[in-house]
Amino acid sequence: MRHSFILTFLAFFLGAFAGPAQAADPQIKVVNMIPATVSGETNQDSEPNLAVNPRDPKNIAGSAFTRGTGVCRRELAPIFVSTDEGATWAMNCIVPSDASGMTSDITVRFAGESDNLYAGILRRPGFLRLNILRTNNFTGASVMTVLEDRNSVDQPYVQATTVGGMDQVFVGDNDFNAPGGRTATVDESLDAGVPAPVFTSVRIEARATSGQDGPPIRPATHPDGTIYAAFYGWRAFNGAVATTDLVVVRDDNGGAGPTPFTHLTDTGDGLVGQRVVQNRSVPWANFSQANFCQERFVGSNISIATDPNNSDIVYVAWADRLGDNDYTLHIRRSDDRGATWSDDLRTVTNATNPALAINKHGFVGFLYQQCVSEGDSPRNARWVTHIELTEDSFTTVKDLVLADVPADAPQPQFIPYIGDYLHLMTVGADFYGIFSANNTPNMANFPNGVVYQRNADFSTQTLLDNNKEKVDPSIDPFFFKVTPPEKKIVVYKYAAKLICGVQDDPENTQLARGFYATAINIHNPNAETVKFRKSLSLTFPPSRQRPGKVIRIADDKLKEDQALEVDCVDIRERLFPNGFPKPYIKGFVTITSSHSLDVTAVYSTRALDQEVCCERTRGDHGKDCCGHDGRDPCGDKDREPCCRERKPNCPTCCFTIAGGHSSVDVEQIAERVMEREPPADEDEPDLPDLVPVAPFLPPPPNNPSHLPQNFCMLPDDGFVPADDIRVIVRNQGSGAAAPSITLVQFINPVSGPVATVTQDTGPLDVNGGETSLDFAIPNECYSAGGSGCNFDITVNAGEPPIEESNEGTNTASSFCPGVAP
Amino acid sequence: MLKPIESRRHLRASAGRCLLWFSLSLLPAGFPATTMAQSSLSELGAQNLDRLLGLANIIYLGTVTGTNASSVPGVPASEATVLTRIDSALTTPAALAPLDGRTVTLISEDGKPPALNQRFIFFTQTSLVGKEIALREIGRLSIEAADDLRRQIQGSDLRLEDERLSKRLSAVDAVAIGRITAIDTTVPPPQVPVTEHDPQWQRATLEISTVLSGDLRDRPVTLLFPGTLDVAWVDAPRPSAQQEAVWLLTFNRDVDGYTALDPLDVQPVEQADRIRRLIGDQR
Repeated sequence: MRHSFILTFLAFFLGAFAGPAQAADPQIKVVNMIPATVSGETNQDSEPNLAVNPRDPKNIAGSAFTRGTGVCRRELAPIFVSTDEGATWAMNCIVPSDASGMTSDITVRFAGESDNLYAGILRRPGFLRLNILRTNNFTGASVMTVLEDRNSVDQPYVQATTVGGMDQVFVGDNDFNAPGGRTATVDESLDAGVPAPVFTSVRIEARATSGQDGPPIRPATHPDGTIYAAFYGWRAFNGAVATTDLVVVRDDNGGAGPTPFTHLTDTGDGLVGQRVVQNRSVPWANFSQANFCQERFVGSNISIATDPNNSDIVYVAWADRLGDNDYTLHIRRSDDRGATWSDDLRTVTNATNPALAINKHGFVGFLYQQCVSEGDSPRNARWVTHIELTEDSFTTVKDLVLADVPADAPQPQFIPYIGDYLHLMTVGADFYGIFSANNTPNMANFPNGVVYQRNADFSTQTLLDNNKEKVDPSIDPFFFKVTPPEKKIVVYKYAAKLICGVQDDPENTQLARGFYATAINIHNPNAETVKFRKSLSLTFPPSRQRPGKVIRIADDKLKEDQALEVDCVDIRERLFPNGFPKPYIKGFVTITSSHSLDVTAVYSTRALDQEVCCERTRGDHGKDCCGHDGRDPCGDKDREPCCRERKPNCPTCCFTIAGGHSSVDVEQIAERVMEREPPADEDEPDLPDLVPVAPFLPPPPNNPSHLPQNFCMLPDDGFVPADDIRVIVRNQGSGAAAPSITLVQFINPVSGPVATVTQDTGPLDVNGGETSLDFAIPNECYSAGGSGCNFDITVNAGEPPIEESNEGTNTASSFCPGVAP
Repeated sequence: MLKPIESRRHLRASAGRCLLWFSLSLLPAGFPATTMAQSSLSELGAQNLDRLLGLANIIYLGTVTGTNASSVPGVPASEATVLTRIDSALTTPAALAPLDGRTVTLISEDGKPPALNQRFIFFTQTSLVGKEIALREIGRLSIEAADDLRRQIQGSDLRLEDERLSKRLSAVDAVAIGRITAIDTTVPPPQVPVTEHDPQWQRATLEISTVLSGDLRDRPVTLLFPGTLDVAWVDAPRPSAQQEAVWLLTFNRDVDGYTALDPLDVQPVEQADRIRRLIGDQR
């Protein structure tokens, strides 16, 4: 329970109160995906794509221009599959094809929750023949099901998610069937998991084109139903250069409704789709470029990603040409759902294949491949694959080189040489990606390490086939996983002593007799809004050096210079609506914040008036003398407390001594600055939450005016005193409760605790499972004076306790009226 | 005596005889179910065996070394999975060779794999190929048939090639023997629609010497072929100057010329008689 609470607590802070992060090294894993059993292959496995199952990231699928011939049965193309989070890979021949055993384009994506894998391919035989495919078992042998099959569509790029149990699939493609040359299209199905889903072609280009849009149309989904798509809106094309706008469209309803992707209009012309940049030059040279590391220019480099924590935040990357010969990547950011965009946050010259993704901590990952050469000679040129991580919009960047490989070998078998795209995505905190590169087994080519499955002798930098014969280098797909450095969360913590209530026992040595009030004032001196959490850590009750409960009071936020107060009344109303469990409580109010605050406590105390009584006496005039003239005729020796134990022989001779003093103290609460490691997994597990609940029973037949309450069960005669208390233990959590212990402490109001009784409590179902327990009230719990019997109930009282989502709801206190039977 | 089992997906012979079953679900439509009841390999018939051989890409003589077992991540062990040692591979995909001696996971199509230590000739398809290999079983034959089967496989390869070429011959518009006399390698400007998969058509002049089928009145023939290196066209034949061949030609209305884009569309002249025979068989 404690562990769970801490995880939950820290998880909250990661999301809401994250302070500045500390730099550290990320964890990196790079794996050559070609399996050992096909070590002799020399295919050009370029243009890779990757799908990590968000529901179970151990399951990953990859794709590339990989031939099935020699591996698969006829007319099937393979995908790569891993069931151990990319550590090892196999080929699974489930993509329909022809005798070539390969596809033209292919991208793959898992849905959010269904385990269905979707693919968008250009199928063979055929030319620009779009197929949208699905399998519910990506390691199974069944060929993927064809969901959509039509011609004249280019570069399908699939995204998928699951909403309300329905797979939603969005395939960005350049559909030459679109009327008016407005070819940028998203083929969407909002229930793609059904046997025969319907795909609708949504045209997302609102402006006139040169006759068509550019090849890449890239969708990005967000769990809240926001869907973005980015594309090159071609405004002119001269055969060598496309003059293009970079356009972003958005849908706020998960692609539903009669006019999807129309929720973002341009601040300039008012048409659908915000133009991030306009009239940029994108080169078109559809042949291997000697001065670009053998790759071509076909304007296919766009990536878009939205922050999983905030769909308002969206990044886009694209490529264009700024000078005469360059190919430059750009990144921009919008904080207002694509309405306005930053200037370039990052540019990279002579690079291709930009891919963006954002993890749950807000880290942005930027994957790209840069052609680096000496002078104009393609000799000695190298493809350098980077992933950059940033948490401050590229103000600072952690640059990781995944591969730095020769680009002048091997010779292209076809183009694209390494691919017109690759892929980067996140699941939780982790970045997963794929790229294609020269596979020469040379550790120097992989500065952050690499693992080969295929036979490779790194000492001689030689690939070997299954017969241990030398194999020439080729282009292979490489999987990678990067886990960014975990943020150390900086929090500011304040612990203010709190005393609330009345202590009127003059013999109590824990606290002087008096009235106590505490008010804690919190002021935000920061220029920004600050969120913080308030909790109560009780020290009394209980007592005797036992730790008390920790109860969350509330999460609040203050704008600049705003202030609020936490006081006894607030705490009683929020946490103890039936009154404090004791006449007074003691403890700490803790305040935890991502920013420094001004915290001041105001302590008010006042000594109580004291009633005293003395023996009946008569004065000189025959009247009772006790206090009638304001004096105390009894003297100290006769004075007795009389509030609770008024003695029969002193029923009337009472008077009050006024309280001695009152005070107000103001104390500045010290600030502690603490660093925390984030929890390994912030996802809150389904846990039980046990609460004690009083039964609500009909009144006894012979005492219809009595409504049972406060757990007290009357005897058969229907009148007090009760002889049992009945506690309903209810599980109001989302996780099942294992067997636990319920404890009741009976307390005589006068003499104190008399008995502690426990009962085993059986397992309880989720969301309201309950059991009823009866506890016999010891006779000695009832005070002789008629003050009844007090009791404290604690559910989940065993050691160790079972894990719960909220341990602040485990107790209840009450009393049963009456005197001992 | 072979007999249908449970009247559905497979056949199994009685023990000690030439034993064969294979998955009917994998057979092409029209495959005659009555042939399942043949009592021997020879009675099964070359054509039906060819179909089975065409479906299986790994055929091996193997021994069951483990039951309810799997060595392949992604293939959970179950009653349908056994480990088999490949004692002798009869057919092996080139990329996976050699297979002899390797232990593979066999996934039984009908959920009833053979018992421990049993030996069979297994007809399989690759399922998962990683560090280890999982194969999907589509048929099983007693080991006594191994020698016969080896011979049948050799003949079957030729028959399957003929079948595929014959299928292609029936799909094209004309077949002719001819020589490339000129090639225009001018790279055309991007065509509409502009796509990275643009074939960048180039033109060759094909002088026809013999027409084997079809109507080729306009001679010489203009043969269009992709000039691009794009992946979509990577397997398309590229004619070379003075290349003489048997050309399987398809008229492409979009480009107003003939194309020969399938790797089978350009055959050595030495294959002319074979192609004549296949064309004749179609008539």
